Amino acid sequence: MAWFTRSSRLTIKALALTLALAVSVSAQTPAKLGSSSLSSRIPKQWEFNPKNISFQGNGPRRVQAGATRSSSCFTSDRPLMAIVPASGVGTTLAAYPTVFWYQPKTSASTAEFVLLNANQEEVYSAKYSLPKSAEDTSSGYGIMSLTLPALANFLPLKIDQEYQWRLSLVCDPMDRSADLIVGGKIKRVAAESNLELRLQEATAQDRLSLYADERLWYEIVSTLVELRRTHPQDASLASAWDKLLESVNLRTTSVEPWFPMPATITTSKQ
Amino acid sequence: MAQQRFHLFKSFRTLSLKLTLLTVVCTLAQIPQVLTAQGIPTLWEAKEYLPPSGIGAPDHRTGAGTRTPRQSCRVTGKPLTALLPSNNFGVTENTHPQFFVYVPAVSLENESIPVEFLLESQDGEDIYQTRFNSNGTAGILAISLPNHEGVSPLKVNSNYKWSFSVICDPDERSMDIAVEGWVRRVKLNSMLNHQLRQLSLSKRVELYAEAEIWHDALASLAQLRLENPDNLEVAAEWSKLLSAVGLEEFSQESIIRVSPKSTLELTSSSQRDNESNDATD
Repeated sequence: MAWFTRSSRLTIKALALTLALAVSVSAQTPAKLGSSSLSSRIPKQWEFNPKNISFQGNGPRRVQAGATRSSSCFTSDRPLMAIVPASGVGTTLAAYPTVFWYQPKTSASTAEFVLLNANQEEVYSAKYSLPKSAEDTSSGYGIMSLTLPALANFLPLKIDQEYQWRLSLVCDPMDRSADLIVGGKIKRVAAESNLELRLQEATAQDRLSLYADERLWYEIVSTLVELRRTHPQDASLASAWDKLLESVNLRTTSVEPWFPMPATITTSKQ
Repeated sequence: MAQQRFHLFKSFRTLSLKLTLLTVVCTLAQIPQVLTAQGIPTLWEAKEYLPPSGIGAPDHRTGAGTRTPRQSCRVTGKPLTALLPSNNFGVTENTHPQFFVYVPAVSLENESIPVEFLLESQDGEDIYQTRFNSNGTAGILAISLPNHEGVSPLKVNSNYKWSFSVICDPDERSMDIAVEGWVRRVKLNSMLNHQLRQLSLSKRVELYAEAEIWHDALASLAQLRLENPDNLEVAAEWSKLLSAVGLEEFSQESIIRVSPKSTLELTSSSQRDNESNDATD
């Protein structure tokens, strides 16, 4: 049993490395992931009978249309969206997870991200200016992600606690009540050691299945986003992505792509 | 009168000769040369890239803190320090560079203290700001300008001001302990660019150092150090680079990064950030 573990560790490392390289290098190579079966790994419905979103009162919604009484910050047919399940809660194994949202082309000047712990205390925040309309607009919209910084002086998410995140588009810096806000919740869960091992030994496809089976939301979104960013032309990945969104009632059609091609993409062909 | 004029004429001639020589030298300096990656210099000098004017002569790398430090913000040991050359100025070719700060141990009243990083344009416009609760651990912090949150890439030849603050009292920002620096994004000439892509990470460090690209030299070396924590050669290079800017006292400090990357993620975002300019690893 011992020799199996040792050699499999090597295999795991090699596999992880190969996988990381395969996914990260050149956007030209098509995803060799047995693509047709990828969509089949995604469940039809992520949650069973999701309770109404647990955000009450001031809590952020999942989806935010562009026009409010006082401002219309964007006119896209695809709204500002937090990529989270219908209940708003996504689970993760990660100590420093990555969250995702869809950001339409907007005239908003700034975007703000905030993470609150279970006591509604701010634990992390980030604020940044958005590109002005005349500039390179390809970087300012599409699926955006934020990864909590994996720093030893920044405490990792506590297990079994629900953290709330929200993303605000500041449409009018003079009137913060006109902000358009979406958000979700993160619950970090512990994995039984068996699961970690199974994940380490799994192929990319199998890993997706495991994430789906265990309902690890932020992991499955992370994986698909990564794949779509590195293989933007792959149609099967696009349909897997659509299926995932459909499983949480977030699928929308729009002229705006989920993953716009950056204008300054430098494909490495040396 | 005539004599005066003659002297004036002479000094003009000398001046114009000097100017001509200077122009020739400058022109020559602009011809791309093949750098030979001869190693990290003993003394970091600003020859190619000069800092923007008026950013202040005093060394702003160190955060002195307040005169009467509150109990909630007692700093022990080395002060908050930006890891930059002594002119507070660093250059990068990266669209989303990394900024390095030594964060001291802070004795805390509560279990955490907020820290903040801010990047502004030369006109004082906020570009990116992040704040999080630090548990007071000391070490070298690397803050990356994120790639996927919609932060625009730094513009070529633009100067940006960055600062890092320990917020002792959120209601009284004048009590912050802060450091600041300036960064300029540059575009390397194609020959140098080509050279860099061919090299291993450690050789790249040397080339960056020789080309005066501070942020990328430091970031590459930090990455090497994280990946090879027990390698003595890497440790020596790290020490050498910090010594070149008079920061050798920080060469033994650990880099506050949680290691390792989880194998559950296919690629980490930091790997992607490093790849934004690299063709191959």
